[in-house]
Amino acid sequence: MALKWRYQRMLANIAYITVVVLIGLGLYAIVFKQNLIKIVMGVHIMGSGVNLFLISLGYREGGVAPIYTLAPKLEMVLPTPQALTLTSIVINLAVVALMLSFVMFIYCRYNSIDSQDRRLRG
Amino acid sequence: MNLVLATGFGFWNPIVFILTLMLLMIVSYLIWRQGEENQGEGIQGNAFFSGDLLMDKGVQAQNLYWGFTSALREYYDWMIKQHTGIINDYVAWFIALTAALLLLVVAL
Amino acid sequence: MINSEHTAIMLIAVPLLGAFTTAVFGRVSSSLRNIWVLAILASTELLAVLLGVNVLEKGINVYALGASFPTLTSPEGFPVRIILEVDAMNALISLIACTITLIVVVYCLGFMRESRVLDKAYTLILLLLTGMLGLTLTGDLFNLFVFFEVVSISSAALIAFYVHRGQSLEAAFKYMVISATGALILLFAVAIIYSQYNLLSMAALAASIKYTFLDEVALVLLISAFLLKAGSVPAHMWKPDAYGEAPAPVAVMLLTSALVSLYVLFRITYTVFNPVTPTIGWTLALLGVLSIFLGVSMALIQTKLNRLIAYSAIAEIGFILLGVGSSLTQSPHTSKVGFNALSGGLFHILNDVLDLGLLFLAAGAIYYLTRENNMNRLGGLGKTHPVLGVFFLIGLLAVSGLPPFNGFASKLMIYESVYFFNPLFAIIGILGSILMAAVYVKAFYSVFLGVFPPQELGQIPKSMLAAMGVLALLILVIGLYPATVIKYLITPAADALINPGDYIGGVL
Repeated sequence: MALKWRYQRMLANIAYITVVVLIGLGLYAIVFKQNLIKIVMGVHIMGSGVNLFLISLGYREGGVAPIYTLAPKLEMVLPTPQALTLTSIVINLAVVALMLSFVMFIYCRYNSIDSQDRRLRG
Repeated sequence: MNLVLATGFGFWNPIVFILTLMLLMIVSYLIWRQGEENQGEGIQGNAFFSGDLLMDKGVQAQNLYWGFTSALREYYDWMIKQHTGIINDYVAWFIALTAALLLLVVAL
Repeated sequence: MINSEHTAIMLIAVPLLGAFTTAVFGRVSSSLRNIWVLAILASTELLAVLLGVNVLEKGINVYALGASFPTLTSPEGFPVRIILEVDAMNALISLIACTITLIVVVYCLGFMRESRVLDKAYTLILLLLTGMLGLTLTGDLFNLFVFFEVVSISSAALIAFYVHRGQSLEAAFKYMVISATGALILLFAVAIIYSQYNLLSMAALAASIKYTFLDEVALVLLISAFLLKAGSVPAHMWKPDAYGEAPAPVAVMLLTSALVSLYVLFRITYTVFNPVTPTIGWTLALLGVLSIFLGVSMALIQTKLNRLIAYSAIAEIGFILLGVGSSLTQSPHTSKVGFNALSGGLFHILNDVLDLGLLFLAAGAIYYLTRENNMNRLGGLGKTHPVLGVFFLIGLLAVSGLPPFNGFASKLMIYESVYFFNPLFAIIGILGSILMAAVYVKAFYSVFLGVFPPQELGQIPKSMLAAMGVLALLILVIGLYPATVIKYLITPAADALINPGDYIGGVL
């Protein structure tokens, strides 16, 4: 019984561990990778980490989908984080698309997608 | 209209300032008028430019404050070295700012 | 007469509508599109004025989206509402944003006349205005994130306006990466707050905040995200790139968005968290001093005009942070000095955008005439375009804080009250101001005096002159009547900021 409880506890926390790993990986890619496309991937990975964090905040064990009209009298998962995550995914998509198009144009002008090949100095 | 801005310790009245400025300018104009015309014409030499003869291009923007920047050469060299212009470093500085703030605010 | 009940949401909805209808009108004819954009902006400006008057007369203005009244909850107790909450502070900032955008678009009529992508440029400018107004008016933390990203995306696309130039694209990419990272940090902080209180409304959060460890972490993440967007040291490096490579009117819009994010920073620190420890205040003041010093010293060695103004913009951000940060070190309810520092900082937001806006627009006019940004290759413009020289001179004197211009009044308030808290900070501020004068004397000398015989230059279009003239006039009027501006605009805003009770009471 205790073992099962501990197992479930770890399962509940694994989402948060994944969040930390994803955000760390994203930041690592943004700071240390010199390929511009990899930097964009880093931003997206970080965004996925934050989205996962939002979703797991709203999770309630044994909860049902938060549809008020049809739901039985059970505990529901929180509806707000799901709405937030949906919005955030869409925004993240737009950001990544815009950045990738910038990278494409930069490659046309500079013939390079290395972040060290820059012409502007801060 | 309230013209006097109280700043806690003193006050600031732009109208009085402008009146004083105009008065001073009138006085200086009167003093200036006492001088002789045509004084000094034909006796000016060439402009002196840091020991060099004045270049054809004149004093350019990058020549200005030469003394100041060369006195602070080490600071400026260091500063320009920090401003690399690489996007990775920008994000690294941002993370450093966040970390420093976290240490300062949360730990203290 | 417009029903004042819906003013707050109309202020966001009208420019949003304008943004996406501009392209349709652009298909018909370009003059129709210009009239349409100007009409949209004029009505936005009118709405902002109405909202401001309404707030000053009747107090806080709360608008609930998705509910018939602000305090509605579902039977289970979930708050089912998104709130726009407007007090004197938001109203002031939204008025500034609308006015600057109107001036910028009037300037664009001349500046970008030959451009073939004006439909898209106007769409993006209106979208940027929508984002800024949303960021200003919203009372909801998640909406902050959404509008933050709206501002980021539209301004990144505007920075890359000269899409044939690699440098513009590079600047836009850098801006986008850094603000996307900042936005994700912001969202993470919002999620941390939500995990504790199940709340997103700023007013409700302010009422129930408990200063736990996680709250402080969230506060720091929010502060650093908005400092990044405002461009304080050491997260300032995107600014010279973005401001320098964007067209001058876009640089003014970016400057306004930086000031809007500073406002959000102050709203979060003052109203939502209202910190009990002085650490945050000292930290902000220290960052302000560093920004002043670094901004002016780096501006001194720049040779490109736009980059020079961009570095001085960092220094000006530093003055605002210095004033407001030092007032945060004390409880400003009781201290007259702290209140003065806060009013000086908020007054400087207004002055900063006017002064630097005028300088950026003048730099844009110089670029329009000569197609040249490098000050080494400029000179002698004062003989051919004296009016432009006068505008630049007004901007120069105002931004260096010389009397009797507006920059002096706010800087005087900041110096005097900061001297009370920490004399060293005030002295560094004054030194920064003097160096700022030196920086702009260099710019004025090499652009307008100089020995280069200017080649055949065209004339500046009337709309550009009109836009710069309005800014110069505002600078002169505020410089002559600072006490009136303080009394009717700044003091109510500072009062609204330091009394979170009203903000909370508007919702709960």
